[in-house]
Amino acid sequence: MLFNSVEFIFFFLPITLVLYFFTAKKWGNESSLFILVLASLFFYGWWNPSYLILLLFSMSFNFLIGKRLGAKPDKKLLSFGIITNLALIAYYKYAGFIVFNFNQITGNNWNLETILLPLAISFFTFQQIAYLVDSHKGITKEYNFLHYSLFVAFFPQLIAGPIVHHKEMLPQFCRTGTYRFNSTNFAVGISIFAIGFFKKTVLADGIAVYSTPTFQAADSGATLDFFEAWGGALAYTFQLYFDFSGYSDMALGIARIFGIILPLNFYSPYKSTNISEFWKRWHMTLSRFLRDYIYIPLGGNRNGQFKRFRNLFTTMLLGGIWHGAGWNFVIWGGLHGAYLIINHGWQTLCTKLGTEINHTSWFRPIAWVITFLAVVVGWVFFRAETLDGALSILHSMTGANGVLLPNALYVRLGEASTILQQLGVEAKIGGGIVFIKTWAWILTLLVACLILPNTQDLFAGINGSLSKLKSEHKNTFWPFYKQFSLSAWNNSRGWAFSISVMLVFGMLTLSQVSEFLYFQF
Amino acid sequence: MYNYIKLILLFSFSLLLLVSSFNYFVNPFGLFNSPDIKGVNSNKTQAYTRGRILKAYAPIDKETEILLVGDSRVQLGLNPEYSAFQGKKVYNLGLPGADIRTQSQYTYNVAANTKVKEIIMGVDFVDFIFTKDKKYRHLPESYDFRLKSTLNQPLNPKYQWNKTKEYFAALLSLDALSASAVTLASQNSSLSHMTRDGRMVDSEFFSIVNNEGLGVLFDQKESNLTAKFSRPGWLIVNENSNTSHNFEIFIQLIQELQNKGIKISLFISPYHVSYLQILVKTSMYEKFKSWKQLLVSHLDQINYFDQGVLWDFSEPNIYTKETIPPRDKTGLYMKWFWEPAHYRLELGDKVLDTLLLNQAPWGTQLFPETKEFPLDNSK
Repeated sequence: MLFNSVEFIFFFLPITLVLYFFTAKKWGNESSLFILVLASLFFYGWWNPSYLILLLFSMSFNFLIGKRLGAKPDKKLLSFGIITNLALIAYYKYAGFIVFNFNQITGNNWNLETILLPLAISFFTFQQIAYLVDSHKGITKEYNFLHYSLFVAFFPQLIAGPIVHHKEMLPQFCRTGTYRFNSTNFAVGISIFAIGFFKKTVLADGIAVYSTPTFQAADSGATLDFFEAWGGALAYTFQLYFDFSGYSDMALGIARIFGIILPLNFYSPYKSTNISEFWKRWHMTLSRFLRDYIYIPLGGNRNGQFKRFRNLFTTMLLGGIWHGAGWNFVIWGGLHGAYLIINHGWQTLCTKLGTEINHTSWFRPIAWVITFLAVVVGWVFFRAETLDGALSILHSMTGANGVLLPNALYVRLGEASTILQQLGVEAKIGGGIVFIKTWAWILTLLVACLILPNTQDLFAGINGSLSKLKSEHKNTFWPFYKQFSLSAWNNSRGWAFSISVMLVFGMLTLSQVSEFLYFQF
Repeated sequence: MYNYIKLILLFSFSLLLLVSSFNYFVNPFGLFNSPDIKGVNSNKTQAYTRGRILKAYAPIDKETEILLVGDSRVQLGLNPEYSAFQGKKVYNLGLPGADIRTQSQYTYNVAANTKVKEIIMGVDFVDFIFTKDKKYRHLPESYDFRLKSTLNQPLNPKYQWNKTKEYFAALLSLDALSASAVTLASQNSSLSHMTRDGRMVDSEFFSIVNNEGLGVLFDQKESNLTAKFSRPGWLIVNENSNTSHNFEIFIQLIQELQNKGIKISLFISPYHVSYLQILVKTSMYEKFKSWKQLLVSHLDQINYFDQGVLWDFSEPNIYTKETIPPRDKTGLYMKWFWEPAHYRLELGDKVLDTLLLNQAPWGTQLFPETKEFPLDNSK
């Protein structure tokens, strides 16, 4: 079930809410919790009930292992738990990829039946690995299967995160106030949900129309010109951000209506002026997982610069593979690993030279451009289905396949067209309207990403998420910071109207077909 | 906080009401009976993007008597307000990009649910051809869900529900809202628009010719056609057979129409000679000729020629050999064509003159005994 679907908004959510608060009042908190677990399992099984078996197995297995680890730390048991989890994900997600590459190398023709990828397996597996490690370290303990089930399967975060820690959720499940209807929670929840709903359905799905055909064309061997390639790559850059951050906002909002506060997952990543900052702001709960459970156990920055770089690169490579079984994801991860190494190298150099260049007002926009372009290049690999497709788009982005403007536009430029001609910009027939719409969308969303405060900034005063961040602009390029950073949500008529507009616009998209991008992960 | 929640509810319901009223009033897709006000909403500039929705319902609701059927050529070229149609309810069912299967299903939908008396149908070579893997002609059958009747399902049980959903979406969807806004803003623009009787008014072509020249239209169409016909593996019938699914469904339609006593006039659309030259260049011309022979033979098998006519306007003649003005000059028009594949309304009238009035006939009337189909003179 998608958050942005009629069945979810008009049936599942209201019915679950009523049952949740009603049972809490009538039969107590534990029964209410039971309802929420049942609803979450129903939500998960909506796509394919057979997925449920795997989820239930995974939850039961990890609960038992975690319980034992909580009672008595045991490295062997922990390894067994982690390996079992990884084996499951390896089978469902990577078996086809492994066999394909094995065949390529050895010339064999092994054939694997098509394995249906269980929804959100990467999310619930990683969440539970973290739980096992935390149990082993004594950071968290869980002896109640119902609580544990809700920690894993709580439907707002089950499908696409945020990836939560057990220690963040358990205290909230145990708090009596959680189970009483609270108008503030409802008001805040519905407002955050409306913003996410608008971001996902209006903005992300709106710009998707201009990115998808470009990548499809490149993957099928078509040659793109400069503006087509950049248009597609940038459109996808914004589509992915508004899609995923919109969905994360929806998750935060829905959870909040139930009285649960989730961790923050996005914090204006496209304002970042270096790649480290980008990763502090993009898919934050995954970054946290990678840092705590891969980078630091690998040694982190403890054993010198070389090993630090090696650890960084390995972590990002694994982060890439987490997103999908394909070489493009490996390259994307490797690319970001390399970016991070270059960035750390640059920071070290600046420190050695004693320069404050990174903090000067003239360098900030330059750093932002470099960071943003590096991210866009990464997204080309992330989105393209084939390596050839990705390379073809990047090749076109250099202008090697011509810089062409639609003729309809060209002939209306007057004298400017002569200058463009001298610069090598030529006219092509057709595509005028698509060109204008593509670039209008890109510019609008670029400005929105750079200037506007994010959902966390707006709701920080009323604990929109578990994060304490508020209008943080260190290592960012944020034009008109003073004018926009102070905006905050309140229960005024103006906000009620703005939220209603976003809610209504989102609802108006319900008759349109839209898929959430991160489902595939 | 309760006040805030109440305000959200109040604003949301008010906005939904406002949006639906606005969409109903502007009626961007022409689905509703709201008034058309000149300069405000009369030019339905966004309706062409919803042709398959509109044309599933409108000709039935309008109780059409004469139906003009075909693809984009018919939609652009045949005028429901043609002089001889005066006093009759005529609807242009031209569907751009639709293959013969889709055209047949849409036509049957109207024929089965109205008292339509006459059908004039433009049949096109490109709507019949296909590749072995159907890669290039695979328009989904998903369009059928909105039709009340199809050739394989006389009464669609979900028709009313589907229609309600689509009308609801035309009132309450972001697509409809943005289409309404564009419709209001584009009343005096050069955008093409669809009339209430299903015809596409070709304003956009004027703008292109005035700003960019006719050459742009020709170049674009010629390169598209060349690319399309150059793809390997085009077939007109199944391998080792003299028929195809496309011929079968078309003949099934003609039989159904005959059974209902509907008068049928078929014609092969006029193409500018440059179109025929592309067929020759891409080695498709022989297939085009064979297709005509097969068309005649299939129609003959159901004794179509006892009552119906088939005219061929596609071969070189005084209209289709019209000289193309210098391509790089702006503002120079052709009298009969927009580009190689699409004739203008003026030539559409000439087609109707021949079909309906037998007035200054041109083209060739085809009969079962027609053995020779003329080859392109320029060849």
